[in-house]
Amino acid sequence: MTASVFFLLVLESLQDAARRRIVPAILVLCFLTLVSINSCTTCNAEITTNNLQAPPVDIFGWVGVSVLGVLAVWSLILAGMLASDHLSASLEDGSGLLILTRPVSRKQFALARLFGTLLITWSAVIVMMGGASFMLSLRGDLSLWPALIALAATLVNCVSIAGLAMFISLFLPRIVTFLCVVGFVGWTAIANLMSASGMTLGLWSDVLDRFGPPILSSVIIPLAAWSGQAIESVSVTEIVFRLGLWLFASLSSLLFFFAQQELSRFEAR
Amino acid sequence: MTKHFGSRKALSGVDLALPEGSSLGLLGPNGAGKTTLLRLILGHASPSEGQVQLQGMSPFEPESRVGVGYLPERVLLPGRVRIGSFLRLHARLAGLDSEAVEPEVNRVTELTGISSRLEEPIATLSKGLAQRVGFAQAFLGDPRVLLLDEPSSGLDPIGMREVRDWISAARERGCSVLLSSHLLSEVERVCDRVAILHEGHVIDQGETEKVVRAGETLEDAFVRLVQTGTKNSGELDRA
Repeated sequence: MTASVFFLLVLESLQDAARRRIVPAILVLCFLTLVSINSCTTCNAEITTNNLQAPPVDIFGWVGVSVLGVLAVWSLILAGMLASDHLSASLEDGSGLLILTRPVSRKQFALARLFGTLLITWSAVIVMMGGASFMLSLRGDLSLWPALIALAATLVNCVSIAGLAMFISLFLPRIVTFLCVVGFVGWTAIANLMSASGMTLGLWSDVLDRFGPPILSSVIIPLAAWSGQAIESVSVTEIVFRLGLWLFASLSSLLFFFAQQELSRFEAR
Repeated sequence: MTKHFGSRKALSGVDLALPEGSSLGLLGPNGAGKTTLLRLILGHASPSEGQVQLQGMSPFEPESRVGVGYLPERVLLPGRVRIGSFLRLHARLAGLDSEAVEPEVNRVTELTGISSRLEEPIATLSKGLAQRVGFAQAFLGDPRVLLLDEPSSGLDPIGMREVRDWISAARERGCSVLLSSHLLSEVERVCDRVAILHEGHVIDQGETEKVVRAGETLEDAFVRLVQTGTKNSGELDRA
Protein backbone atom coordinates (compact mmCIF):
# COMPACT_ATOMS: atom_id res chain seq x y z
CA MET A 1 0.00 0.00 0.00
CA THR A 2 1.30 3.43 -0.92
CA ALA A 3 1.89 6.29 1.49
CA SER A 4 -0.95 8.20 -0.19
CA VAL A 5 -3.44 5.46 0.73
CA PHE A 6 -2.16 5.49 4.33
CA PHE A 7 -2.63 9.27 4.30
CA LEU A 8 -6.19 8.73 3.03
CA LEU A 9 -6.91 6.37 5.91
CA VAL A 10 -5.50 8.85 8.43
CA LEU A 11 -7.61 11.59 6.87
CA GLU A 12 -10.67 9.34 7.06
CA SER A 13 -9.86 8.67 10.70
CA LEU A 14 -9.64 12.41 11.40
CA GLN A 15 -12.89 13.11 9.56
CA ASP A 16 -14.54 10.30 11.50
CA ALA A 17 -13.47 11.90 14.78
CA ALA A 18 -14.70 15.29 13.59
CA ARG A 19 -18.07 13.82 12.61
CA ARG A 20 -18.41 12.48 16.14
CA ARG A 21 -18.09 16.07 17.38
CA ILE A 22 -14.98 15.24 19.36
CA VAL A 23 -12.84 17.85 17.62
CA PRO A 24 -15.16 20.83 18.36
CA ALA A 25 -15.38 19.71 22.01
CA ILE A 26 -11.59 19.58 22.25
CA LEU A 27 -11.25 22.99 20.60
CA VAL A 28 -13.57 24.48 23.23
CA LEU A 29 -11.59 22.73 25.96
CA CYS A 30 -8.28 24.10 24.64
CA PHE A 31 -9.72 27.59 24.46
CA LEU A 32 -11.07 27.43 28.03
CA THR A 33 -7.74 26.06 29.30
CA LEU A 34 -5.77 28.88 27.71
CA VAL A 35 -8.22 31.52 28.95
CA SER A 36 -7.98 30.24 32.52
CA ILE A 37 -4.17 30.02 32.41
CA ASN A 38 -3.99 33.50 30.93
CA SER A 39 -6.22 34.75 33.71
CA CYS A 40 -4.15 33.05 36.42
CA THR A 41 -0.79 34.27 35.12
CA THR A 42 -1.77 37.90 34.63
CA CYS A 43 -2.58 38.45 38.31
CA ASN A 44 0.14 40.06 40.40
CA ALA A 45 0.97 37.44 43.03
CA GLU A 46 2.69 38.52 46.20
CA ILE A 47 3.63 36.08 48.93
CA THR A 48 5.27 37.42 52.04
CA THR A 49 6.87 35.15 54.63
CA ASN A 50 8.50 36.60 57.80
CA ASN A 51 8.25 40.04 56.19
CA LEU A 52 10.23 38.81 53.15
CA GLN A 53 8.48 38.92 49.80
CA ALA A 54 9.02 35.76 47.71
CA PRO A 55 10.48 36.49 44.27
CA PRO A 56 7.90 36.05 41.42
CA VAL A 57 10.13 33.44 39.75
CA ASP A 58 9.65 31.10 42.75
CA ILE A 59 5.88 31.42 42.59
CA PHE A 60 5.70 31.01 38.81
CA GLY A 61 8.10 28.06 38.94
CA TRP A 62 5.92 26.02 41.29
CA VAL A 63 2.73 27.14 39.58
CA GLY A 64 4.29 26.13 36.27
CA VAL A 65 5.17 22.63 37.47
CA SER A 66 1.67 22.16 38.88
CA VAL A 67 -0.11 23.51 35.78
CA LEU A 68 1.97 21.50 33.29
CA GLY A 69 1.67 18.39 35.46
CA VAL A 70 -2.12 18.65 35.51
CA LEU A 71 -2.22 19.36 31.77
CA ALA A 72 0.05 16.36 31.07
CA VAL A 73 -2.25 14.02 33.00
CA TRP A 74 -5.32 15.53 31.33
CA SER A 75 -3.66 15.13 27.89
CA LEU A 76 -3.07 11.45 28.51
CA ILE A 77 -6.65 10.92 29.66
CA LEU A 78 -7.75 12.69 26.46
CA ALA A 79 -5.51 10.38 24.39
CA GLY A 80 -7.02 7.36 26.13
CA MET A 81 -10.57 8.68 25.74
CA LEU A 82 -10.20 9.25 22.00
CA ALA A 83 -8.43 5.96 21.37
CA SER A 84 -10.76 3.88 23.51
CA ASP A 85 -13.33 3.63 20.73
CA HIS A 86 -11.72 5.00 17.58
CA LEU A 87 -10.71 1.58 16.28
CA SER A 88 -13.45 -0.61 17.76
CA ALA A 89 -16.30 1.78 16.85
CA SER A 90 -15.28 1.79 13.20
CA LEU A 91 -15.38 -2.00 13.22
CA GLU A 92 -18.72 -2.07 15.01
CA ASP A 93 -20.40 0.40 12.64
CA GLY A 94 -19.16 -1.63 9.67
CA SER A 95 -17.09 1.10 8.00
CA GLY A 96 -13.81 -0.41 9.20
CA LEU A 97 -14.80 -3.92 8.17
CA LEU A 98 -15.66 -2.68 4.69
CA ILE A 99 -12.28 -0.91 4.42
CA LEU A 100 -10.61 -4.17 5.39
CA THR A 101 -12.21 -5.89 2.37
CA ARG A 102 -9.90 -3.64 0.31
CA PRO A 103 -6.17 -4.28 -0.15
CA VAL A 104 -5.44 -2.72 3.25
CA SER A 105 -3.58 -4.67 5.92
CA ARG A 106 -4.85 -4.72 9.48
CA LYS A 107 -1.60 -3.15 10.70
CA GLN A 108 -1.98 -0.24 8.30
CA PHE A 109 -5.61 0.24 9.28
CA ALA A 110 -4.87 0.15 13.03
CA LEU A 111 -1.92 2.52 12.65
CA ALA A 112 -4.02 4.92 10.57
CA ARG A 113 -6.77 4.93 13.21
CA LEU A 114 -4.16 5.49 15.95
CA PHE A 115 -2.42 8.22 14.00
CA GLY A 116 -5.74 9.97 13.37
CA THR A 117 -6.39 9.94 17.11
CA LEU A 118 -2.89 11.16 17.85
CA LEU A 119 -3.09 14.09 15.44
CA ILE A 120 -6.08 15.39 17.39
CA THR A 121 -4.51 14.68 20.78
CA TRP A 122 -1.11 16.09 19.85
CA SER A 123 -2.72 19.28 18.52
CA ALA A 124 -4.63 19.70 21.78
CA VAL A 125 -1.49 19.00 23.86
CA ILE A 126 0.62 21.44 21.87
CA VAL A 127 -2.02 24.17 22.18
CA MET A 128 -2.70 23.58 25.91
CA MET A 129 0.78 22.74 27.24
CA GLY A 130 2.62 24.86 24.67
CA GLY A 131 0.36 27.86 25.32
CA ALA A 132 0.64 27.46 29.10
CA SER A 133 4.44 27.05 28.89
CA PHE A 134 4.77 30.14 26.75
CA MET A 135 2.65 32.28 29.09
CA LEU A 136 4.39 31.01 32.23
CA SER A 137 7.80 31.47 30.66
CA LEU A 138 7.01 34.98 29.45
CA ARG A 139 5.32 36.25 32.61
CA GLY A 140 7.43 34.38 35.14
CA ASP A 141 10.74 35.01 33.38
CA LEU A 142 11.41 31.28 33.17
CA SER A 143 13.39 29.35 30.55
CA LEU A 144 11.14 27.74 27.92
CA TRP A 145 13.38 24.70 27.33
CA PRO A 146 12.37 22.62 30.39
CA ALA A 147 8.72 23.05 29.43
CA LEU A 148 9.42 22.01 25.84
CA ILE A 149 11.15 18.83 27.06
CA ALA A 150 8.17 18.07 29.31
CA LEU A 151 5.86 18.70 26.35
CA ALA A 152 7.87 16.33 24.11
CA ALA A 153 7.78 13.62 26.78
CA THR A 154 3.99 14.03 27.08
CA LEU A 155 3.60 13.68 23.30
CA VAL A 156 5.49 10.36 23.48
CA ASN A 157 3.38 9.25 26.46
CA CYS A 158 0.25 10.08 24.43
CA VAL A 159 1.28 7.47 21.83
CA SER A 160 1.81 4.85 24.55
CA ILE A 161 -1.49 5.54 26.30
CA ALA A 162 -3.51 5.80 23.05
CA GLY A 163 -1.95 2.55 21.80
CA LEU A 164 -2.71 0.89 25.13
CA ALA A 165 -6.33 2.12 25.07
CA MET A 166 -6.82 0.84 21.51
CA PHE A 167 -5.31 -2.49 22.50
CA ILE A 168 -7.67 -2.82 25.51
CA SER A 169 -10.64 -1.77 23.35
CA LEU A 170 -10.13 -4.92 21.24
CA PHE A 171 -11.28 -6.95 24.25
CA LEU A 172 -13.41 -4.69 26.44
CA PRO A 173 -16.34 -2.30 25.86
CA ARG A 174 -15.62 1.38 25.37
CA ILE A 175 -16.61 2.62 28.82
CA VAL A 176 -14.64 -0.12 30.62
CA THR A 177 -11.63 0.64 28.44
CA PHE A 178 -11.87 4.32 29.26
CA LEU A 179 -12.19 3.65 33.00
CA CYS A 180 -9.16 1.32 32.87
CA VAL A 181 -7.13 4.04 31.16
CA VAL A 182 -8.22 6.75 33.60
CA GLY A 183 -7.41 4.47 36.54
CA PHE A 184 -4.03 3.50 35.14
CA VAL A 185 -3.00 7.06 34.22
CA GLY A 186 -4.30 8.50 37.49
CA TRP A 187 -2.69 5.88 39.71
CA THR A 188 0.65 6.07 37.90
CA ALA A 189 0.64 9.88 38.05
CA ILE A 190 -0.05 9.86 41.79
CA ALA A 191 2.71 7.26 42.32
CA ASN A 192 5.15 9.41 40.31
CA LEU A 193 4.18 12.50 42.33
CA MET A 194 4.49 10.76 45.71
CA SER A 195 7.84 9.27 44.71
CA ALA A 196 9.15 12.67 43.57
CA SER A 197 8.03 14.12 46.92
CA GLY A 198 10.06 11.48 48.77
CA MET A 199 7.04 9.66 50.18
CA THR A 200 7.02 5.92 50.84
CA LEU A 201 4.90 3.99 48.36
CA GLY A 202 2.89 0.80 48.75
CA LEU A 203 3.83 -2.25 46.72
CA TRP A 204 1.63 -1.64 43.63
CA SER A 205 2.22 2.09 43.57
CA ASP A 206 5.96 1.39 43.78
CA VAL A 207 5.70 -1.06 40.87
CA LEU A 208 3.80 1.51 38.79
CA ASP A 209 6.28 4.25 39.69
CA ARG A 210 9.32 2.13 38.81
CA PHE A 211 8.04 0.21 35.79
CA GLY A 212 4.98 2.09 34.51
CA PRO A 213 5.08 4.84 31.88
CA PRO A 214 6.77 7.93 33.37
CA ILE A 215 3.62 10.05 33.20
CA LEU A 216 4.53 12.75 35.71
CA SER A 217 8.19 11.83 36.26
CA SER A 218 8.92 12.86 32.67
CA VAL A 219 7.30 16.26 33.36
CA ILE A 220 8.59 16.94 36.87
CA ILE A 221 12.24 16.10 36.16
CA PRO A 222 12.82 18.56 33.30
CA LEU A 223 10.81 21.19 35.19
CA ALA A 224 13.13 20.88 38.20
CA ALA A 225 14.82 23.92 36.67
CA TRP A 226 11.57 25.85 37.29
CA SER A 227 10.79 24.55 40.76
CA GLY A 228 14.41 24.59 41.92
CA GLN A 229 13.93 21.14 43.49
CA ALA A 230 16.09 18.41 41.98
CA ILE A 231 14.52 14.94 41.79
CA GLU A 232 17.11 12.31 42.65
CA SER A 233 14.88 9.22 42.94
CA VAL A 234 14.99 8.53 39.21
CA SER A 235 17.54 9.14 36.47
CA VAL A 236 16.97 10.84 33.13
CA THR A 237 18.33 7.76 31.30
CA GLU A 238 15.79 5.55 33.03
CA ILE A 239 12.96 7.91 32.12
CA VAL A 240 14.00 7.96 28.45
CA PHE A 241 14.32 4.15 28.46
CA ARG A 242 10.86 3.69 29.97
CA LEU A 243 9.32 6.16 27.51
CA GLY A 244 10.73 4.09 24.65
CA LEU A 245 9.83 0.76 26.21
CA TRP A 246 6.18 1.69 26.79
CA LEU A 247 5.93 3.17 23.30
CA PHE A 248 7.21 -0.08 21.79
CA ALA A 249 5.15 -2.32 24.08
CA SER A 250 1.82 -0.57 23.48
CA LEU A 251 2.23 -0.32 19.70
CA SER A 252 3.47 -3.87 19.24
CA SER A 253 0.68 -5.26 21.47
CA LEU A 254 -1.95 -3.36 19.50
CA LEU A 255 -0.63 -4.45 16.10
CA PHE A 256 0.03 -8.05 17.08
CA PHE A 257 -3.30 -8.70 18.78
CA PHE A 258 -5.33 -6.83 16.16
CA ALA A 259 -3.76 -9.04 13.48
CA GLN A 260 -4.97 -12.12 15.42
CA GLN A 261 -8.54 -10.90 16.02
CA GLU A 262 -11.65 -12.52 14.57
CA LEU A 263 -13.11 -9.34 13.10
CA SER A 264 -16.56 -10.85 12.68
CA ARG A 265 -17.08 -10.70 16.44
CA PHE A 266 -17.15 -6.88 16.31
CA GLU A 267 -20.33 -6.98 14.22
CA ALA A 268 -22.17 -8.59 17.12
CA ARG A 269 -21.02 -6.10 19.77
CA MET B 1 -11.93 -26.43 5.77
CA THR B 2 -13.59 -26.30 9.17
CA LYS B 3 -14.58 -23.39 11.38
CA HIS B 4 -15.50 -23.71 15.06
CA PHE B 5 -16.93 -21.02 17.34
CA GLY B 6 -16.12 -22.52 20.71
CA SER B 7 -17.73 -25.95 20.71
CA ARG B 8 -20.10 -25.07 17.84
CA LYS B 9 -19.08 -26.08 14.34
CA ALA B 10 -20.09 -23.32 11.94
CA LEU B 11 -18.51 -25.02 8.93
CA SER B 12 -17.28 -28.56 8.62
CA GLY B 13 -15.31 -30.22 5.83
CA VAL B 14 -16.14 -27.49 3.31
CA ASP B 15 -14.27 -27.92 0.02
CA LEU B 16 -15.26 -25.35 -2.57
CA ALA B 17 -13.61 -23.57 -5.47
CA LEU B 18 -14.60 -20.63 -7.62
CA PRO B 19 -12.76 -20.96 -10.93
CA GLU B 20 -11.88 -17.74 -12.76
CA GLY B 21 -14.82 -16.34 -14.72
CA SER B 22 -17.38 -18.69 -13.16
CA SER B 23 -20.32 -17.96 -10.88
CA LEU B 24 -21.24 -19.99 -7.85
CA GLY B 25 -24.51 -19.66 -5.98
CA LEU B 26 -24.21 -20.38 -2.27
CA LEU B 27 -27.54 -21.60 -0.95
CA GLY B 28 -28.60 -22.62 2.51
CA PRO B 29 -31.10 -21.96 5.26
CA ASN B 30 -30.45 -19.36 7.96
CA GLY B 31 -27.43 -20.29 10.07
CA ALA B 32 -26.08 -22.70 7.47
CA GLY B 33 -22.72 -20.92 7.48
CA LYS B 34 -22.90 -18.87 4.26
CA THR B 35 -21.86 -15.55 5.82
CA THR B 36 -19.15 -17.25 7.89
CA LEU B 37 -17.73 -18.68 4.67
CA LEU B 38 -17.61 -15.22 3.08
CA ARG B 39 -15.89 -13.80 6.17
CA LEU B 40 -13.28 -16.54 5.95
CA ILE B 41 -12.73 -15.79 2.26
CA LEU B 42 -12.14 -12.11 3.11
CA GLY B 43 -9.75 -12.89 5.96
CA HIS B 44 -12.05 -11.46 8.64
CA ALA B 45 -11.87 -14.79 10.41
CA SER B 46 -9.44 -17.68 10.23
CA PRO B 47 -10.37 -21.32 9.68
CA SER B 48 -9.98 -23.72 12.61
CA GLU B 49 -8.71 -26.40 10.24
CA GLY B 50 -7.73 -26.33 6.59
CA GLN B 51 -7.10 -23.26 4.53
CA VAL B 52 -8.78 -20.60 2.44
CA GLN B 53 -7.22 -18.96 -0.61
CA LEU B 54 -8.36 -15.85 -2.40
CA GLN B 55 -6.86 -15.37 -5.87
CA GLY B 56 -4.22 -17.96 -4.96
CA MET B 57 -3.11 -16.17 -1.79
CA SER B 58 -3.93 -16.26 1.89
CA PRO B 59 -6.81 -13.83 2.49
CA PHE B 60 -4.70 -12.30 5.28
CA GLU B 61 -2.41 -10.89 2.58
CA PRO B 62 -3.81 -7.53 1.46
CA GLU B 63 -2.77 -8.26 -2.16
CA SER B 64 -5.29 -11.12 -2.26
CA ARG B 65 -8.07 -8.51 -2.07
CA VAL B 66 -6.89 -6.50 -5.08
CA GLY B 67 -9.74 -6.50 -7.61
CA VAL B 68 -12.27 -7.93 -5.15
CA GLY B 69 -15.67 -6.31 -4.66
CA TYR B 70 -17.72 -7.27 -1.60
CA LEU B 71 -21.30 -6.53 -0.68
CA PRO B 72 -22.12 -7.47 2.94
CA GLU B 73 -25.44 -8.98 3.98
CA ARG B 74 -26.31 -6.02 6.17
CA VAL B 75 -24.94 -3.01 4.38
CA LEU B 76 -23.23 -1.47 7.40
CA LEU B 77 -22.22 1.91 6.10
CA PRO B 78 -20.99 4.89 8.13
CA GLY B 79 -24.22 6.84 8.46
CA ARG B 80 -22.65 10.28 8.94
CA VAL B 81 -20.70 10.12 5.68
CA ARG B 82 -21.99 11.47 2.38
CA ILE B 83 -22.38 8.93 -0.40
CA GLY B 84 -19.86 10.70 -2.66
CA SER B 85 -17.12 10.87 0.01
CA PHE B 86 -17.68 7.24 0.92
CA LEU B 87 -17.38 6.06 -2.69
CA ARG B 88 -14.35 8.28 -3.41
CA LEU B 89 -12.51 6.80 -0.42
CA HIS B 90 -13.30 3.26 -1.52
CA ALA B 91 -12.33 4.02 -5.10
CA ARG B 92 -8.89 5.12 -3.89
CA LEU B 93 -8.60 2.09 -1.61
CA ALA B 94 -9.56 -0.11 -4.55
CA GLY B 95 -6.39 1.13 -6.21
CA LEU B 96 -7.67 3.84 -8.56
CA ASP B 97 -5.52 6.89 -9.30
CA SER B 98 -6.86 10.23 -8.09
CA GLU B 99 -7.70 11.25 -11.70
CA ALA B 100 -9.70 8.07 -12.26
CA VAL B 101 -11.77 8.39 -9.09
CA GLU B 102 -14.46 10.84 -10.25
CA PRO B 103 -15.21 9.09 -13.58
CA GLU B 104 -15.40 5.74 -11.77
CA VAL B 105 -17.68 7.08 -9.04
CA ASN B 106 -19.91 8.59 -11.75
CA ARG B 107 -19.95 5.25 -13.60
CA VAL B 108 -21.00 3.14 -10.63
CA THR B 109 -23.53 5.66 -9.31
CA GLU B 110 -25.15 5.93 -12.74
CA LEU B 111 -25.20 2.14 -12.99
CA THR B 112 -26.87 1.78 -9.60
CA GLY B 113 -29.19 4.78 -10.02
CA ILE B 114 -27.85 6.96 -7.21
CA SER B 115 -25.96 9.58 -9.23
CA SER B 116 -28.26 12.39 -8.06
CA ARG B 117 -27.72 11.53 -4.39
CA LEU B 118 -23.96 11.90 -3.99
CA GLU B 119 -24.26 14.72 -1.44
CA GLU B 120 -26.75 12.92 0.80
CA PRO B 121 -25.58 11.39 4.09
CA ILE B 122 -25.88 7.62 4.07
CA ALA B 123 -27.91 7.72 7.31
CA THR B 124 -30.87 9.34 5.52
CA LEU B 125 -31.18 6.58 2.91
CA SER B 126 -33.81 3.86 2.85
CA LYS B 127 -32.67 0.24 3.10
CA GLY B 128 -33.05 -0.23 -0.63
CA LEU B 129 -31.00 2.85 -1.44
CA ALA B 130 -28.33 1.87 1.08
CA GLN B 131 -28.16 -1.47 -0.71
CA ARG B 132 -27.56 0.39 -3.98
CA VAL B 133 -24.73 2.33 -2.33
CA GLY B 134 -23.32 -0.99 -1.17
CA PHE B 135 -23.50 -2.27 -4.73
CA ALA B 136 -21.86 0.87 -6.08
CA GLN B 137 -18.87 0.40 -3.74
CA ALA B 138 -18.64 -3.29 -4.65
CA PHE B 139 -18.51 -2.43 -8.37
CA LEU B 140 -15.77 0.21 -7.95
CA GLY B 141 -12.67 -0.48 -10.02
CA ASP B 142 -14.40 -3.12 -12.15
CA PRO B 143 -13.55 -6.05 -9.85
CA ARG B 144 -12.33 -9.44 -11.06
CA VAL B 145 -14.07 -11.19 -8.15
CA LEU B 146 -17.46 -10.26 -6.71
CA LEU B 147 -18.54 -11.61 -3.33
CA LEU B 148 -22.19 -10.84 -2.78
CA ASP B 149 -24.01 -11.68 0.44
CA GLU B 150 -27.80 -11.52 -0.01
CA PRO B 151 -27.55 -8.81 -2.67
CA SER B 152 -31.30 -8.41 -3.21
CA SER B 153 -32.02 -7.82 0.46
CA GLY B 154 -34.20 -4.74 0.87
CA LEU B 155 -34.80 -4.23 -2.85
CA ASP B 156 -38.16 -4.06 -4.58
CA PRO B 157 -38.91 -6.36 -7.56
CA ILE B 158 -37.57 -3.78 -10.04
CA GLY B 159 -34.42 -3.42 -7.96
CA MET B 160 -34.04 -7.21 -7.84
CA ARG B 161 -34.23 -7.41 -11.61
CA GLU B 162 -31.61 -4.65 -11.88
CA VAL B 163 -29.36 -6.60 -9.53
CA ARG B 164 -29.58 -9.64 -11.75
CA ASP B 165 -28.73 -7.47 -14.77
CA TRP B 166 -25.71 -5.96 -12.98
CA ILE B 167 -24.42 -9.36 -11.95
CA SER B 168 -24.98 -10.78 -15.45
CA ALA B 169 -23.13 -7.80 -16.97
CA ALA B 170 -20.21 -8.35 -14.55
CA ARG B 171 -20.13 -12.02 -15.53
CA GLU B 172 -20.04 -11.12 -19.21
CA ARG B 173 -16.94 -9.02 -18.48
CA GLY B 174 -15.29 -12.17 -17.09
CA CYS B 175 -15.84 -11.42 -13.41
CA SER B 176 -16.02 -14.40 -11.03
CA VAL B 177 -19.11 -14.19 -8.84
CA LEU B 178 -19.84 -15.86 -5.51
CA LEU B 179 -23.46 -15.17 -4.70
CA SER B 180 -24.91 -16.08 -1.32
CA SER B 181 -28.69 -15.84 -1.44
CA HIS B 182 -31.99 -17.12 -0.14
CA LEU B 183 -33.59 -16.30 -3.47
CA LEU B 184 -33.34 -19.52 -5.42
CA SER B 185 -34.75 -17.98 -8.60
CA GLU B 186 -32.02 -15.33 -8.49
CA VAL B 187 -29.30 -17.94 -8.12
CA GLU B 188 -30.85 -20.10 -10.84
CA ARG B 189 -30.82 -17.21 -13.31
CA VAL B 190 -27.39 -15.82 -12.52
CA CYS B 191 -25.17 -18.74 -11.51
CA ASP B 192 -23.91 -21.66 -13.52
CA ARG B 193 -22.98 -23.66 -10.40
CA VAL B 194 -24.54 -23.99 -6.97
CA ALA B 195 -23.38 -25.23 -3.58
CA ILE B 196 -25.93 -26.05 -0.90
CA LEU B 197 -24.86 -25.55 2.70
CA HIS B 198 -26.74 -27.10 5.58
CA GLU B 199 -25.62 -26.98 9.23
CA GLY B 200 -22.08 -26.13 8.12
CA HIS B 201 -21.77 -28.96 5.58
CA VAL B 202 -21.83 -28.72 1.80
CA ILE B 203 -24.57 -31.24 1.08
CA ASP B 204 -24.36 -30.82 -2.66
CA GLN B 205 -22.54 -28.80 -5.25
CA GLY B 206 -22.08 -28.76 -8.98
CA GLU B 207 -23.61 -27.40 -12.14
CA THR B 208 -27.18 -26.31 -11.52
CA GLU B 209 -28.59 -28.82 -14.03
CA LYS B 210 -26.80 -31.68 -12.24
CA VAL B 211 -28.01 -30.70 -8.78
CA VAL B 212 -31.60 -30.42 -9.99
CA ARG B 213 -33.20 -33.76 -10.91
CA ALA B 214 -35.47 -34.19 -13.90
CA GLY B 215 -38.85 -32.55 -13.29
CA GLU B 216 -37.54 -30.58 -10.30
CA THR B 217 -36.99 -26.86 -9.87
CA LEU B 218 -33.97 -25.63 -7.92
CA GLU B 219 -36.36 -24.93 -5.04
CA ASP B 220 -37.55 -28.56 -5.06
CA ALA B 221 -33.93 -29.77 -5.09
CA PHE B 222 -32.99 -27.38 -2.28
CA VAL B 223 -35.91 -28.49 -0.07
CA ARG B 224 -35.21 -32.16 -0.78
CA LEU B 225 -31.51 -31.84 0.05
CA VAL B 226 -32.01 -29.73 3.18
CA GLN B 227 -34.81 -31.94 4.51
CA THR B 228 -32.84 -35.12 4.03
CA GLY B 229 -29.79 -33.27 5.34
CA THR B 230 -27.39 -35.73 3.78
CA LYS B 231 -24.75 -35.34 1.15
CA ASN B 232 -25.97 -36.04 -2.35
CA SER B 233 -22.81 -38.07 -2.86
CA GLY B 234 -23.78 -39.41 -6.27
CA GLU B 235 -23.82 -35.92 -7.73
CA LEU B 236 -21.29 -34.21 -5.52
CA ASP B 237 -18.89 -32.54 -7.85
CA ARG B 238 -15.93 -31.07 -6.04
CA ALA B 239 -14.37 -28.45 -8.26
